[in-house]
Amino acid sequence: MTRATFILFACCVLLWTCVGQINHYLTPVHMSVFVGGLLVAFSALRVGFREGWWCSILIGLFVDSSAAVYFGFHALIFAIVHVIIYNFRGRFPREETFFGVIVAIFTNLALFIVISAGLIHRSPTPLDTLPRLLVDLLASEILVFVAGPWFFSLQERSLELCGVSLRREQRGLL
Amino acid sequence: MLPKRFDQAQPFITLGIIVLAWLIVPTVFKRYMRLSFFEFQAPLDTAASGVRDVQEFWSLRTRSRNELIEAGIDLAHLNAKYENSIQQNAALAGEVSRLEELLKLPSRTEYRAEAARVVRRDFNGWWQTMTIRKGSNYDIPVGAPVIFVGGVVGRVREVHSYTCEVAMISNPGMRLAATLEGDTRPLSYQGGNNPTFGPASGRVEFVPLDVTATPSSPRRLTTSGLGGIFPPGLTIGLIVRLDPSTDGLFKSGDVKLDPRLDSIEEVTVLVPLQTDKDVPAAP
Repeated sequence: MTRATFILFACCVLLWTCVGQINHYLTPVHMSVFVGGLLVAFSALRVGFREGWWCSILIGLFVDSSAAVYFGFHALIFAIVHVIIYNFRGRFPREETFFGVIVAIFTNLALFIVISAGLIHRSPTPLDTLPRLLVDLLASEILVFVAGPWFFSLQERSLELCGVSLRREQRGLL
Repeated sequence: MLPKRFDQAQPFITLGIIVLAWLIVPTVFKRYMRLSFFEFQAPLDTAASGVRDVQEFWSLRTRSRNELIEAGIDLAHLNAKYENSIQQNAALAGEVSRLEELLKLPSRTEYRAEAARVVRRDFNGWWQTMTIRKGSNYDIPVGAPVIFVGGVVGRVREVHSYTCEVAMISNPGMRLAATLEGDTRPLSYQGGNNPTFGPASGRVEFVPLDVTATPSSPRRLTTSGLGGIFPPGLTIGLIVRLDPSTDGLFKSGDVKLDPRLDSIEEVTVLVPLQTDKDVPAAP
């Protein structure tokens, strides 16, 4: 774990806290948002494997600490998604924010489906849960699309302010 | 230098090693980590809750004096009613304890009521939980019942230093023994679905065939007291529909929960009091 890991982790904690507050205010309308894809996308696309991977693990454990699931559930799926994105990132224009947001949207979709598949058995009537999950997924994807550029910029600027350069990870410069 | 193929597989190998390590790590370590991460998160949520309280305070400060005087008069009327109810309850409690002694009935669990503010509500499609602003610093145990003015809220799931997590009654994993108001036959309640823009609901099972309920004439579902967690007679919700189950022996149906659960800000935790019988005798 390096300084970059902790800076990215702090940014993710900030985002997760904001999302927690949004969910708190959305409870009267029975809606919630999930931004797991956004928590993983930047660290998987822009920074080195170790820094980003540890960040994904830490934020996964942070999410797990207050979630009604087995401790390590989110950390595991965040780590798997991180490894997959990292392995394929060289083939895409990963330095572009727009591409990062697209990756975040698809990652969020994948994570949402995996979590839903893992937890839907808890419901007494699983099929009746699907409309709610679809609405939540739609709201989550809209939030990821809207907040994605801001969050990418926040992480980039935070790293810059703390003296961590992303130039080493960019292609064609070194 | 490592071969290129190994470099490409390195992330997957690392993942595999970490997953294996996580599987063999003792549960105590995982528990310690969970608590550590939660205690790291708790101040953030508590601070946000404090900010909301300050906002509410300043919004109330904008009210005119006339409004406050009217609210004070209403409160005085309510207090007078409650005073009367307290006196009646005291007389009834005395009568109940006298009859229990006469009939040599087993004593009931007594509770200490601990009011707590809600720090954060988390009602998603997968689970419904809330965090409240009291924890082990108020001796709240895991499994303690949580209630509010409309009935049952849920059960304490995790206790931390100064917060605790409550599994809501609408949580799909929540099950408790229930009974109909004015009936003693036990039923099974389970948290159900929480549709968007609709009220939270639950499911009731093992309802006797002679019981009927419709949206126009619902039946009140209350806690049965079986299981020893919830005291009997607390409102769970209203049974609005009952259909025969597939085996034809019982009925099952939907329970409409109190809509105030969705915007709840204050709850009461019932902390079981340790009676003389629970205390082990000195050698």
